Amino acid sequence: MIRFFIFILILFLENLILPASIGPSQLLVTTIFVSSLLVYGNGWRTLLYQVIPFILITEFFTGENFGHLLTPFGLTGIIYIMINKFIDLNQDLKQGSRSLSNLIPCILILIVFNYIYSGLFILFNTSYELSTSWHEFTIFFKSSSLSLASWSVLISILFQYVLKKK
Amino acid sequence: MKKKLIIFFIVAVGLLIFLLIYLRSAGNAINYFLQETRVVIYSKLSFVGNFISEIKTIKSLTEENIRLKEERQALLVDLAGQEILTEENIFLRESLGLSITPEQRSLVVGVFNLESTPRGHNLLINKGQIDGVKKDDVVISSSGVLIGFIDDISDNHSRIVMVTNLDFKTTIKIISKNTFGIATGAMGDGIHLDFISENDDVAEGDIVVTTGNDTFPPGLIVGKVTEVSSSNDGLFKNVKVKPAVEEINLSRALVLLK
Repeated sequence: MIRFFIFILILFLENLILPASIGPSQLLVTTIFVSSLLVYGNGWRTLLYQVIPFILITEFFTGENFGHLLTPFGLTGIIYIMINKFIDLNQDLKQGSRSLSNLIPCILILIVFNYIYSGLFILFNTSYELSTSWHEFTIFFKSSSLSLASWSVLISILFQYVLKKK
Repeated sequence: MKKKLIIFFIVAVGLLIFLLIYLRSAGNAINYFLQETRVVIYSKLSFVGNFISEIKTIKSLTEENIRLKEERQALLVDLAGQEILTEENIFLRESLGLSITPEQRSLVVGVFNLESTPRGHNLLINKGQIDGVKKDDVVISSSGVLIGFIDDISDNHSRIVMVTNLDFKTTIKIISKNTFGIATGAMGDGIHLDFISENDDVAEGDIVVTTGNDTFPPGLIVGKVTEVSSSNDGLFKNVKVKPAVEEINLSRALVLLK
């Protein structure tokens, strides 16, 4: 339940509070938070019972058409779960260690996850034109790297030290 | 407990899908109720944000005051000249039997959401199809700054694609110079100007406005040139523009109705 309330707070923070206070800036806080649920969660169950509902709520809140965010995010989630089955990326995260060395893989996973999601989002919204998508992705990459990395660090710390089950 | 939570989530998702697909009007009603509250919150927070940014510039207030007075004087002279030109324009149109350009109808709207996506920023406004808003309507601020255009409309709200969005393109000119080009949104990088050749006159500080040669009316402020450099091929210049939309209060806007 606490994760739901934090999610609602982040939704308001990204779409209302921060833009009104500091103006338009590149923030993907909601998607980083929801992807953290998957990284620290239990694969398919987390995807079905937490990630999908949260993304649907985000779509409703931001006025997006149904499936506009869910399709690229869901696809990225499925890719992550498939890779995780073979490589077991989040093994150390689940074991409960709270060391700094455990935080770094999580941050990297979140950054890569969100770049893959962003790439798919751009691809689906440019009618699958690869050259246009690549050009737009490079612009996105340059303008969002710092913001993406910063929020990934913050949200990883939140999950690692505050929300983690003891 | 876990079973109850699972059942709760399944019911919630099912209800949400049902609302989104089959009960669109109910969804719109809920959204309408929430959006007016969000418009007020956005407006109040924008005021706080502007106040904080003004405090940062408090040291240079005196210099800025003098500069603004000089700028105001120059603008008053320009305004007087424009009024003469407008009268002349109307007189010539009447003489040649041409129709007088009707005044643009506009609608005041409140912003209640600024969404950040991997392709740029989208604003949500509290007016939609019922209020006469149509797709591709241009959105500006009260001071004539171009904010964007309407991309998607519902009954009670609409989505604006902002000038910094990767979808955005318009023909522009540099004020007081014979330089024309195309402005494209570049997210955090502001706006890029394309097709500015090496021989074109452009410098940092130049004001960029719309030409009116496309769907956007002429004379809308796009931004100020911040960087000019030569490209690798030596044919065109790389010109970056700071969007004027970043310096205004975005809680209210005007939709230019067709």
